[in-house]
Amino acid sequence: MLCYLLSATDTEHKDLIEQLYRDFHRDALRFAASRFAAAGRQDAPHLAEDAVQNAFYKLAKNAHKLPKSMDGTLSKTYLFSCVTNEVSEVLREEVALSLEELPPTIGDGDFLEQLCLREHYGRVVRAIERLDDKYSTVLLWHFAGGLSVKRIADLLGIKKKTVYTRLARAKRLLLTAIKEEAE
Amino acid sequence: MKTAQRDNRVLFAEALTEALSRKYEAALSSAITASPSEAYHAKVRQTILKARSEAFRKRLLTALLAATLLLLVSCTAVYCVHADFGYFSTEDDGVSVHIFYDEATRLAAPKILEEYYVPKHLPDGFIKQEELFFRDDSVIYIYKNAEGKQFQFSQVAFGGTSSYSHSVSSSYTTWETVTIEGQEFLCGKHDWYDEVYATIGHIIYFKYLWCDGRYLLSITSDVPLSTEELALFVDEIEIVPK
Repeated sequence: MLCYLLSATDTEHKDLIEQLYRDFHRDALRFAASRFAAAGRQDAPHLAEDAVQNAFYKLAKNAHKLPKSMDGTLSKTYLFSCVTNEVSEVLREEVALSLEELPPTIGDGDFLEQLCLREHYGRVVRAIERLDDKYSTVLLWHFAGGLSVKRIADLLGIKKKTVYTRLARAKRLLLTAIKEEAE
Repeated sequence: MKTAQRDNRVLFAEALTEALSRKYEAALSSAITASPSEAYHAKVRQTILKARSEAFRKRLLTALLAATLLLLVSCTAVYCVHADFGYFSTEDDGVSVHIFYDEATRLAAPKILEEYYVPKHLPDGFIKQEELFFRDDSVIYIYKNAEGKQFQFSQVAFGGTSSYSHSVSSSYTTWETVTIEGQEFLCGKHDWYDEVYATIGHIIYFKYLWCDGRYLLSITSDVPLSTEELALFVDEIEIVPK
């Protein structure tokens, strides 16, 4: 599999992908298998192999678009977010949102200001932990990875519109969760 | 205004990384301790137990209770021994690795790099190629020689978020703890071979970690270091103010 991945990666990023594979491939498999098993899938190990392979392949193919912070311990979090996305895709957790359900968009600046991170850092961390994976994944790539919507769509293999929707929803859900915890 | 927005963005990125890292690690550890086969065995065990007589069940429960208490006492003892010895511990087989995050130490340790640890003693022929900074709490220096062999040194603030997510993978690495001149080290040999595509080859490297209460420090080297070399390396680290 590694040979296949490296053939999909540009020369500059081969080391990064190889390091990711060597360090976290087995952990990623266990992680994905546990998600499928929890969803009651009998073929969890096979599904996990497919999901992990897809996640690695997408990372390898888009390695040149990845943020520089992909090095080091952060890379495990980024990799697992991609695996989570692949698992969700297989389990078809994605629910198509009708236009009526779309939340009003909120700009990044306003969103960050409303979070009041300095005062409520711990509360925000807890709210992110509780957030559904499909929302936290796009937040991670957008805010921590600094990727554009188009790049996130390419990386996760979903439509640009879906990324926009998930980002808008994620922001609303996070603000609501923090507000509810404060009350 | 723009600076405040940038600060908020950085802080939010940290919150995201911390939350998701914690969430994934928790999911991973529960995946390792509670595999589907364990669930199956638990079910079988329950079926067998139901068939036993009431008297036998009582005796079994008493025995289980005693065993649990014994286990609890053993765990407490093991924890105390580890706490006395230092930061690292490995299981007998050298595969499982633990780094102890004592809450008091963690609170007292710096959350960001307050000074830089710069290695002065390096293996012959190695020249610094790169410095990689992650947020404000960790840095990796990469050295290479003419043959392309690598040597890395990293410094991670013990109280920072990178320290929290710092995991010691044991998938392909065998670990042992050793003490050299009073300094505790966690030494690992990473030995990886791609079972499917042998053309990738056989990759071996060596990793050494130690902690001074403020920072988690590590060396990654393509060749093993002798105890003398390791002690010399640690002795000759220069602390440079930020």
